[in-house]
Amino acid sequence: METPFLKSDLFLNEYNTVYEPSEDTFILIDALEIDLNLIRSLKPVICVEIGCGSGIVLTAVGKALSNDCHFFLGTDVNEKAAQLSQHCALGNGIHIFEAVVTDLLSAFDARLMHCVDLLIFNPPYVVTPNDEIEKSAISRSWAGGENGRVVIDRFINTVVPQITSETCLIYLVVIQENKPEEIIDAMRICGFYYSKIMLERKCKNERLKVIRFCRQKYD
Amino acid sequence: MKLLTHNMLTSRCLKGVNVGYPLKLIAHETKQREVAFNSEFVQKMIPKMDWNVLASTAKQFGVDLPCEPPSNASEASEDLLRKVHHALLEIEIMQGELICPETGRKFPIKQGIPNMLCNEDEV
Repeated sequence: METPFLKSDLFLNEYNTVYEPSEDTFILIDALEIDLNLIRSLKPVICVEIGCGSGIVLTAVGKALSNDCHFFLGTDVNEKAAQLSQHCALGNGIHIFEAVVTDLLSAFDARLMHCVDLLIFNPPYVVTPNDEIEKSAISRSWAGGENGRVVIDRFINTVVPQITSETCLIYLVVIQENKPEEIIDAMRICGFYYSKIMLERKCKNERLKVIRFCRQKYD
Repeated sequence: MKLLTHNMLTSRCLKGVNVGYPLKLIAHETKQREVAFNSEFVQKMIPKMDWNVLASTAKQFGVDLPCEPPSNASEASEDLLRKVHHALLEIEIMQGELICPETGRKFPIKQGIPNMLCNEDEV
């Protein structure tokens, strides 16, 4: 899968509050690449990335799926991130793309109910004091509060049960401190019985994992 | 912002708002963007849309859609599918406002991006 091109000086100037693609971004792209044939075979219509940041992940998926049969929706609480992800998508030829500034998917309603076929989330997973989360635009991109789970748990409780389609694939980035076994259990309660650790990588002090969740068994 | 997205957005995250849908759309600046037509995509999208909202919003931009959705999207004429395609994907609201139908709270659309964030005291 080709990594979309974004000039790195963008992150120094106008977009200095946007999370610059890092190891966690790349492990996510790599995990999606492994599953590309599966993703293609399920013909996802609505593909959503929450906390899309620079937009590089959704754009990479868009380029790899490369036809006009998918709607890519990226949300972020940071307006600059939404702008940059739109720039990234359009600049790489992904036209059925929309960026919306919102918290998780709170601006979307029953219209998205059971409609999302591919859901990608690289959450703020770093273990921090809870009040670190709201400190600044950039801290919201990585600070995860207690056990790094504050935003992840909100995602599992408010987003996952409502908007996912029967065949939805969910890709979530976590670190060991997030207690992945607990997350897997919580997802099971939401009907996502099957989980698979797609990739695991030790980067600096983080033990990163990408977990795929689905309701049906694929491999 | 495309009308496809407008069709899905709500202001229900505001305190005291029950439905928050549809948001009134005020466009200050629009742009047409050509998007490759794919009939399968449009057919799959039609059942996911609130047709009344789509038809009345499209009308704001000079696109006339029938009052009723095609009963079977896979049998809809190509002519109609192309019109729906245009309405959903090719009209870009670059600057404007989305207005909550219950509270009148305005959400700005800037550089084509709707900002649906609420303040802490609003949720």
